[in-house]
Amino acid sequence: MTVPSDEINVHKFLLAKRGTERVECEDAIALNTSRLLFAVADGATEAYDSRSWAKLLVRSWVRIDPPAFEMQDFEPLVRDLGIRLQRKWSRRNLPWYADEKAQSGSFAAFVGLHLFPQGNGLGWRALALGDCCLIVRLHNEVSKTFPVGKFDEFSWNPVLLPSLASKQYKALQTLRYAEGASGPGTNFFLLSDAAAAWFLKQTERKRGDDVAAFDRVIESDDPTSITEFFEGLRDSSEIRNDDVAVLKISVH
Amino acid sequence: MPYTAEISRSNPTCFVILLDQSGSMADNFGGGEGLRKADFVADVVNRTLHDLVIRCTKAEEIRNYYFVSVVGYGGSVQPAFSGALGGKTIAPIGEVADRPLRIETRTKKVTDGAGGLVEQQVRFPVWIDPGAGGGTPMCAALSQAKSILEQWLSEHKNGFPPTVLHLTDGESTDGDPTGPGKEILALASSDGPVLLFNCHVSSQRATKIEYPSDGSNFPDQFAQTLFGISSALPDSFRKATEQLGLRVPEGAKGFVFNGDPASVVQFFEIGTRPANLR
Repeated sequence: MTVPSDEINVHKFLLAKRGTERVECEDAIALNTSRLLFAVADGATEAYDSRSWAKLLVRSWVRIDPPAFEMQDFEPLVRDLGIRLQRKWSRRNLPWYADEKAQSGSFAAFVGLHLFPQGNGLGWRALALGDCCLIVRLHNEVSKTFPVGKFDEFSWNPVLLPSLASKQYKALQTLRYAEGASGPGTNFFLLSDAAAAWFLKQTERKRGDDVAAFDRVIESDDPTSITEFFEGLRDSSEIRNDDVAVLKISVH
Repeated sequence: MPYTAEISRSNPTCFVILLDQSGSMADNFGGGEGLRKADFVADVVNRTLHDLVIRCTKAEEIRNYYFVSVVGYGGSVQPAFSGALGGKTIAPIGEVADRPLRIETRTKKVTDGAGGLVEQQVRFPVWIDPGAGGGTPMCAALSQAKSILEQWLSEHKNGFPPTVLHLTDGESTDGDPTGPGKEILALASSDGPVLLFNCHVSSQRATKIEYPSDGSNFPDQFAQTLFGISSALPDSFRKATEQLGLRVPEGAKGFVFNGDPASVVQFFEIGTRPANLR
């Protein structure tokens, strides 16, 4: 989908892991193009209803005004969202196993980006918890990777944001912030971990052609071509079989 | 590389739990007063089934990542499931979840958040009851496990290989289990040979051996026999042992001898932790 505005183009794509249905995808994307807020979340595979938690996080975060960047804004937001989700689950008549798992809550990685006018260009700031990433590129050169800096820093057990309010405080201590300036030619990529790991690996290996192919296919906005691209990477084990979320914002 | 297949609904894996329910399982652990082996082991198996169910719970649905079989052997060799699953040799985890024999309420001590412990009521689903009677027909039990696995593998050729978790407290009374054990180890999916892990628990106070890589110094022939039909722990299982604080050598086998109650809990925890759940 392309959302043209005066200064930016946006492309987004979601793909469920192989062997699962589209509606089972636990990655989520949300954007608010009028206020230039963008977010990606990745629900934990083994957690309860993590798809709902990931969607709730991104959709709520891009709506809140002013943007929830500081801890004093972000912490009450996620606490309220977690309580809302737990309440929703508790109203259902669940089988014993679902009821028990719901009591452990859900978990997700999250990254949010805000663009705002700054001088002649756009300033940006981001926050992240877990291994969803922001990659900033200027004229095809990566200028920032956040919060994971290198491919080998991805792990199987990242800190994730819990839905249970009682578990959130500790996780929120790992919230990371970044900021910078951008201008024409800047591309922002918000990616869930599998796509981010692949992107960083190709960048570190100087595989510019692969990254260019990724760029082209994402900008095509053709779901079939993009799906084929990622399925090809899965076939060759270049990328883990995981959900994929890609949100690309290009500054003119 | 073996043991790397993703576990999914289209490529599930399988656990076969083989439980010695011979007469000596009515004795206590370590020869003293306290825990009856049969009671404790039944609790651990029920807790293991509970954990497998919870792991496969996504929202209101269960994903059938696993098939489970529990076979008891003592007076006879038979499926250990009771109630609605009674007589079933193997069941997908979703069916296991929906058909416990009963759900008990038990008391558990949990932290009160202020350095103390408080008692909390918890649900405890039960699928199998303790059993203790008869001899130790280990060869017949291993042969039954082999039959179950052959059938299952004919329908699931490409998944993560099945894992057999065998728990016993004594020597086989129907012959040398080496042959039937090796026959299980010869079965395979496209991702590698079936895994057979053995845990021996003792009524005596004896030095325990956990996850060794070398069986040359074992105290008796029976330990060497069980060691000989135990699979080496693949990487993902070795990681599970490390997460439990155990240091295991390279090439360690899924084998415990003279295990105590803690060893039994760890054995089932390690044996049901293949990675790559999708």
